Amino acid sequence: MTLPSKIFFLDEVVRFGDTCHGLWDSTTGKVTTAAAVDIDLTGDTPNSGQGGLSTGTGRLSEYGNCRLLQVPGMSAASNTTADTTAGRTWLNYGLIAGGAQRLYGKSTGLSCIYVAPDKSRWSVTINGTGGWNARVLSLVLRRFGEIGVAAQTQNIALGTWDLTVTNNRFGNAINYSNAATDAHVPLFLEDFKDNGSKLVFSRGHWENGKAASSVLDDSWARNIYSIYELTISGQPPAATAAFVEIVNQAASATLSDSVTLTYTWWIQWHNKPVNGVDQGYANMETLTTTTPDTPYPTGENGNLYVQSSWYRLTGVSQTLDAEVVIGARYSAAGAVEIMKKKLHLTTSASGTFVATFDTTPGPTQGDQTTNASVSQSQSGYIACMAGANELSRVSFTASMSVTEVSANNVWTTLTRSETATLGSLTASSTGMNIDISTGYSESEGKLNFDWKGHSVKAVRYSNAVYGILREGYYTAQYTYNGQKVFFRVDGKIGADTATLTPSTSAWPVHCTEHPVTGTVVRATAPVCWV
Amino acid sequence: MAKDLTEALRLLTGVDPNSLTNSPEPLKDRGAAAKQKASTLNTAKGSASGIASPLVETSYAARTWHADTTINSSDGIFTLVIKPVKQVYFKDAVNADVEMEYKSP
Repeated sequence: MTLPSKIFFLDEVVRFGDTCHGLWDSTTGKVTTAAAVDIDLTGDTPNSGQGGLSTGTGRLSEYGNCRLLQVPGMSAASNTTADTTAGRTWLNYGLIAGGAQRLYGKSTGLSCIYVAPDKSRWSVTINGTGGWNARVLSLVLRRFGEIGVAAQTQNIALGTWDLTVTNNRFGNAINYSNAATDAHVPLFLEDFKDNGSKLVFSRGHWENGKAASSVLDDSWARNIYSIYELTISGQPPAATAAFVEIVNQAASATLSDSVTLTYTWWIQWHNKPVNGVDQGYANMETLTTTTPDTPYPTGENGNLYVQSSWYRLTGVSQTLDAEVVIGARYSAAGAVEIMKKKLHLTTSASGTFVATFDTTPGPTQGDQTTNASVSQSQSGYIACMAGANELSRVSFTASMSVTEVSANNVWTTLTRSETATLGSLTASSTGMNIDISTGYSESEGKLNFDWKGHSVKAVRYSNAVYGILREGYYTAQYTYNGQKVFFRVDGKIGADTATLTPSTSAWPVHCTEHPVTGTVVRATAPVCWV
Repeated sequence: MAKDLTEALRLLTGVDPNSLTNSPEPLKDRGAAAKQKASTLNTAKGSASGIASPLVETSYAARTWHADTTINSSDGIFTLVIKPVKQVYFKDAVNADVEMEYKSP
């Protein structure tokens, strides 16, 4: 805010405030107002500084962050024709934009602004001292925005916390990633309530060197260990505060459920004749495994005469539901929402496997005739969740079948085919090994559904906007590597239901939601409501 | 009624009321008039009387103020706390005191 250097007592202040409001587009540097007037951005861009926390690692936050700062009781603001023409927009609320917490054209770097019961405003800063395994946190409230009032400050102790961040794997739900390039984020500001009385933080790591990037690309991911909530109440300098861990993903039985399916390894063999004497044949055997990697049973190498094997899902059907935390935000009503992605998976398997062997002594003894007809399928969805509420989902189905006939030790017919539908992608193939297991993506954990290199994941775009994207590799449908398809995104209020398909191989996407109008904008370059 | 009142006044004072406005005051002696101060509102253009410009404030510290008042930005985020001026004291060109008083906004 800029005030005139002299205020004359015979003048009358009609109105003052920040009038630079609209959608900022980084490609033009302009702000487009609600009346479609393009004006220059006043002051800092929405992400020109580091965001939020002096106790964190200083990671830049997303460009599209836009949070409401609401002082109760402010009259609705009106705009004259002259205002509209000049691109001025008077609002009765504030917008804190970008990772640097831009307000009135300045990158405040604050966590937020707390509006006390008497409507006075207090800047909120979190400080930390000591090692991360015993971090002493404190809250500093400092009077904000009142010119002509003596400075006031209140410090509140928030306790000592273990905020260490490692690359530990949490069960099977969160994947290990690259320690050399990951950014450990001991405390990251996810969102805050409109009056600044509640803030949510996360602890985790950001993968693949994305510590200083706000660009969502194919290696972007955030693995969260815990969610904390800070609650401020009362009137400074006698305010109180509580800092509480509200989600511990490692400790949650629900959230850390393994999504590994069990398979049965079907195998058969017939031992080689020794000196013309048949060594007999083995019955078809099964091994139950969750890591179907071992090709041969121990001790059987060298003796195998014929062999056939494949994996089949154990049992007729299996169903699982598993969730992991990907962020937190406050709803428009002010309730904390733990943002999660959910994998729902149903599998089924059926078929027969019949092998016959020539047991007649002679040259053909031990020869095998195999007839197999096996099919299995999976279906389910990846969903983006706000608490228990499902925001959106991308469904998939995949199926495979095998027909196999061999005779006289010669594989005469081997037909394997699979088809899958994954969101907007439908693909099929033949002659490939069958692996329609749950994915092993290194970017977002095992809750991605991977199929032939295509991964569906739920991601965070900004403090308000979450959505689902699919990233994958070359296909006939999308003819370049690393292509992504961006499905619906959901903000706190609004949504963009369009499915966006990229036109180039690298297409980061940015989202911002206006916290009052609910308008969600997606773009290939940073955008933000200011 | 008017005639009764006139007669009553004559009886009380011994002076004929009708003769008062017609009786000229005796002339004073030349040079005997004393110096006197006087002021008047400056209501006539080009008059040389009244406040003589320029007015110069005698002292900022001498100002008096009304109670503090606040002005909020339209979004309520910023507040200006101002003290409206109440009285300001001046001297005019002939060193005469002039005082301005303002209402509370």
